[in-house]
Amino acid sequence: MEVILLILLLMIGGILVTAAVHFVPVGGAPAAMAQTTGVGTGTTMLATGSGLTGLVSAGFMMESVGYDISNLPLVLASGAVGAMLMICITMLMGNIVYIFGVGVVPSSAKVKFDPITKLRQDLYVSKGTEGHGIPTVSFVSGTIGGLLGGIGGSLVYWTLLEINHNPAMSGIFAIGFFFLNAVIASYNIGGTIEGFHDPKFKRLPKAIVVSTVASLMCSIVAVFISTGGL
Amino acid sequence: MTVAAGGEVGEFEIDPKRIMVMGVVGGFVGVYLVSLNILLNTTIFSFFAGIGAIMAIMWGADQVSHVSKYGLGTGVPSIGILAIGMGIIATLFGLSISYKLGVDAIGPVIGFLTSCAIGAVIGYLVNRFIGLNVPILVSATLQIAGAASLTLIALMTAVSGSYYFLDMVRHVIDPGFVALILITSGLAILNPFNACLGPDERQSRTITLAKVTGAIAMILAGIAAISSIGLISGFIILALGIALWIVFFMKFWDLTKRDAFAVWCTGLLPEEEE
Amino acid sequence: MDIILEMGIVALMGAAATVAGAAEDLETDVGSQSNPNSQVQLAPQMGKPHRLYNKAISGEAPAYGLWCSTAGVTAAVLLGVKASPIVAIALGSLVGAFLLGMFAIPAHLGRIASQKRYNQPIYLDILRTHVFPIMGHGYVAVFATLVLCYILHYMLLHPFTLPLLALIWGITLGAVGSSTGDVFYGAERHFQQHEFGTGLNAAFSGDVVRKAEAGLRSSIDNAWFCSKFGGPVTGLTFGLIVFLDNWRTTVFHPDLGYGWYAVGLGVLIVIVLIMLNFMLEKYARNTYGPYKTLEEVGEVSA
Repeated sequence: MEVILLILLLMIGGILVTAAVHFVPVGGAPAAMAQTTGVGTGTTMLATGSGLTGLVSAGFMMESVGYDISNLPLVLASGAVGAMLMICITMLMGNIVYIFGVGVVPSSAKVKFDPITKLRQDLYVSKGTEGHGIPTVSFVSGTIGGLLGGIGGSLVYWTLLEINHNPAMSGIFAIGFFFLNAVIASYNIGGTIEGFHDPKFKRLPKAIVVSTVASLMCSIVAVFISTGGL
Repeated sequence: MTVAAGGEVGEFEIDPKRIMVMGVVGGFVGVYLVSLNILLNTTIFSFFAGIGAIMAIMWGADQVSHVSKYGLGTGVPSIGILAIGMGIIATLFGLSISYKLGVDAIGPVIGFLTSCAIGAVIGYLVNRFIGLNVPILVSATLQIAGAASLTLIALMTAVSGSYYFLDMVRHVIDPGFVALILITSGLAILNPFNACLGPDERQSRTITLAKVTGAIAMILAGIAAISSIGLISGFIILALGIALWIVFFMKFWDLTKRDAFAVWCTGLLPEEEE
Repeated sequence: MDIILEMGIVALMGAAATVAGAAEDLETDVGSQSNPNSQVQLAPQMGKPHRLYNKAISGEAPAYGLWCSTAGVTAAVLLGVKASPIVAIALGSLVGAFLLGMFAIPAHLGRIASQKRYNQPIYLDILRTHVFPIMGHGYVAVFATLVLCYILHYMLLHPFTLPLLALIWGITLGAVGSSTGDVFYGAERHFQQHEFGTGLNAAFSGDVVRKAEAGLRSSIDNAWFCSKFGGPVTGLTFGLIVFLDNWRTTVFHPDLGYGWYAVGLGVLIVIVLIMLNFMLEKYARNTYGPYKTLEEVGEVSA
């Protein structure tokens, strides 16, 4: 029974990571030339960077408060905040580069009005590009991505630590889990996405299906990894 | 990087099947020759695993180059990152379960097969549900996952001097060396094609670069091994790695001169073609 | 630990991270790593051979994960034989920098050799003059990252080992560098011949600047230019991430039962960042104005 619960938790962690990547606004190579809305890096890179920052926060918190199950919400929240901080600071500074370094206004090409601020977008998109920078809606979407990714990564770490009681092994395993699900998500969105208002976001269920099966396989495998007996 | 597509699809200088056989056989022979350590109660034979790792890296890099020519939409690195994600999970499972069953010797095989299985399923699902429509994706993810797993096993064996799970936990995982082994396996497999990407990419040069990165992986394993299995055994891996790196790099340099438009010491830009 | 002392340690970590971020960005400008390199790669195809360094070592994040974890492993090996931390970190970073050089040379040769049909020659003087600045900037970046990991593991007692922390912070450093500073390099430095603020039409792709103030532009010129804005911004980003993330657990230490306050403080910072971004967006809209008027899109018939 306990084993099934652990498998379920690992699976949820994997699915959360896949979902998180869909929220993170990344523009890939074109965004590095201010030709697409989003952060100018790869999906996997940014999501992994934020998720791993969350992992460090969660690991620190868990060391401080102990492995008890009553501390699980605190550990997850800590991971989520760490990931959110990383992604928010990166997006804000990215915008500073777009505005002061490149001289373009953050704007989305996928929607006419920003769903959150109701500001007009299409007039501010420069000629021959598909938007640039990180407008508020993408910023909020990225923050949600950080939240989910941080929770997912910390949940995987916490569950693994429950299984093998070895921080190094759990840490490396959580990184592997994170890589796997982040790449699946990045194949689904084809490298670029603006956030939850992007039409590509509707593809999320497909990635969830793949991630569920992949995470299930890896979770079943993962519960056997410990230095204890069978 | 969205610029994908190297040379032509479906043309090989070296048959990929031959490289696959070399990778699997070479990798396993390298890992299992480390049994000499256990038989003779020493650690100096660990370098065999390092050589096995180079063979497995060649195999993985070759497959990365074939699948990446189809354009995955997110660049070359993603498939290597996917491979080590699958590989590390499957590898640790294989080693752990065989330890629990009391048959440590078959750990590498179980890890390898599990990795291949996970790779095949993920490749199938990605093709089926996400619709990447890359015809060779299933066989490629299967082989890349297998190569990644074999590389991880071989490098971990080189560092710990044995393929027993408890030795690996003590020598590789607890000190955190596994972090280096994870990322170096990934880069060794994905970098050769990424670094040679372009319309005139040629398989022979990419494979040679895979040997170069494989030798670098061996050097790094040697540094870690100095701490885990002792100065002399570690130094053998390190020195052999450096020697192989020099040999392979010189070969790569020759192939670069063969393939490049021109190699100039310095100069202005060539005449522009209109 | 005394809170004042701990605050000083956290500030030191932030400072180290700032240096690491700035050096990392400059290394990727000299070495032309990550996404902006697609323009350097594209230029010969557009009939514009160049004297820039064209290199691709995986993505920036995994690559920095590798340099930093290599340095972390070497430092851990040296610390294991009771070497002094400074020596261990310095020698570890040296190995990391050499590794960067070992990857950077074939990455340049391989990419250029694969562009035979576009008449792009390999310039050996470019290789010779650029590899050492690449390794030098890489050394500073890896050293500073390793200092921060050392503090985190040995002074703040983080449960992850030194190599694992180095891998994680290396990956984060690479992700930050390619998200912030590289945009300045890719979108501004490569396209200086176009008017500032007009945006980069996708049709301009591959049209990188190839001539310098005098002579032909090399990638070392790019590092000079990017050190004025892209590098410092990247440094500030990574420094803020490391500082704010550790600062909140120092103010409200979870050991003393203030864990939830630390989380709350983090959420507060996130909300402030969202507001700041909104203000910045408004500022840009008001200062730069739209590219098209409403009449042009045909919504107001004036």
